Amino acid sequence: MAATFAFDRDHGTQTGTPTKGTTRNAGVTDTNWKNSDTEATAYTAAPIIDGNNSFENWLFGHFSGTYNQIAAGLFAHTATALGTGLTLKGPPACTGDGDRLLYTTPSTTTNAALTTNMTTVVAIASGVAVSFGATGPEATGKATTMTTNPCYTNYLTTQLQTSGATAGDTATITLTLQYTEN
Amino acid sequence: MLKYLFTAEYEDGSSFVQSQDDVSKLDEKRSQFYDVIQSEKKLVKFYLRSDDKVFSVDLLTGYFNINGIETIVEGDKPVPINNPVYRLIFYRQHQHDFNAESKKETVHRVTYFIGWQTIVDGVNYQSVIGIK
Repeated sequence: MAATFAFDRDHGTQTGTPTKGTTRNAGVTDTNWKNSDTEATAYTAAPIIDGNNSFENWLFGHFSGTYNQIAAGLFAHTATALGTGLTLKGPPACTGDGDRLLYTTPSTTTNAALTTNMTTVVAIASGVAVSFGATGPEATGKATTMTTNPCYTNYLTTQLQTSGATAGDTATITLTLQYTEN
Repeated sequence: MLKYLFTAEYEDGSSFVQSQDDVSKLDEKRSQFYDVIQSEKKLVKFYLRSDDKVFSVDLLTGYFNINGIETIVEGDKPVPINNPVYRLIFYRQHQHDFNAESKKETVHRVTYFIGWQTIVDGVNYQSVIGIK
C-alpha cells in the first residue's frame, strides 16, 4: 500500500474554529484560477477580467495508506513562466502552528496573507516549507514531520492577480509539492 | 506500486523483507519500515531491490553497494574516527507536479534514498544516495 496522496480543496464560507471551508472536495484534478469559488465551474465560464484577482484556490495535500512518517514538505512554482501582467501569490513558509495560513471565505479581494510571490519559476528546493498535521489543513498541531495517519498539509493557497495582462488563457504552469515518506 | 522493496539485515543473521502491501504488523496504519525501526535487533545492512537491481548500505562500514560494486560516496566532511555508529537513513522523496488546465496531476516522481548518519563530538555526518 505505502503512502497514498491526493490534492483536496476547500470552498465556501469560512466555518468552525479553526476556520475551514464549508465544502471540502477530495481528489481535485486541476488548479485553474478563475472568477468563481465553485469547484465545478469551468475557468472558461468564469474568466478573470484584467485588473482583478482570481478567487483564492484553497488547495492542500492529503495522505493516507500506510507510512511511518511524512516530512520535508516544499511547495513551489517549478516550470513555465507566467505572462506579462500576471502575479501569482502563495502561502508563507509553514513550520508550525504560528505561521500556518488560516482559511478565509474565498473572494477576489487581494489576500494579504499570501506573502510569497510565486510568479517566478524556482527549483523545488527553493520552495516554501510545508507542514503536516492531523484532522485537516486548518487544524492546530502542524509540524514539519508527522506520523499521524491520515494527515494533511497546511493550506497551499494561491491567488492569481492581474494588471496589464493579455486576454486569453495563461501559459500552463507547473506547481510542485515535494515531501518524503517511509 | 513500490519500484524497490527493502530488505533489512540484522546482526543475528535474520532479515525483514518488505512486501508490496507495506503494512506494519505492529500498527496497520504504519508501513513496514515502522517494524524495522521498532525492532530491538541491530541492523547491519539495508537493501533496496527491484527485479534486476540491488542497492545497499552497510551500517558497519558505511559503504554502499550498487549492483555488486562496492561504492564510497565522498562527502564534504569525512568522519574523523574509525568504526562510528552508523544509523540508517531511508525515505522516498515524492514530487507531485500539478498543472493548471491539465485536468490531472501531470507527473509523480519518486526517488528512493538510503544512507547513514552518525554524530561524533556533537557534529552530524551523513551520506545518502538517491535512486530513481
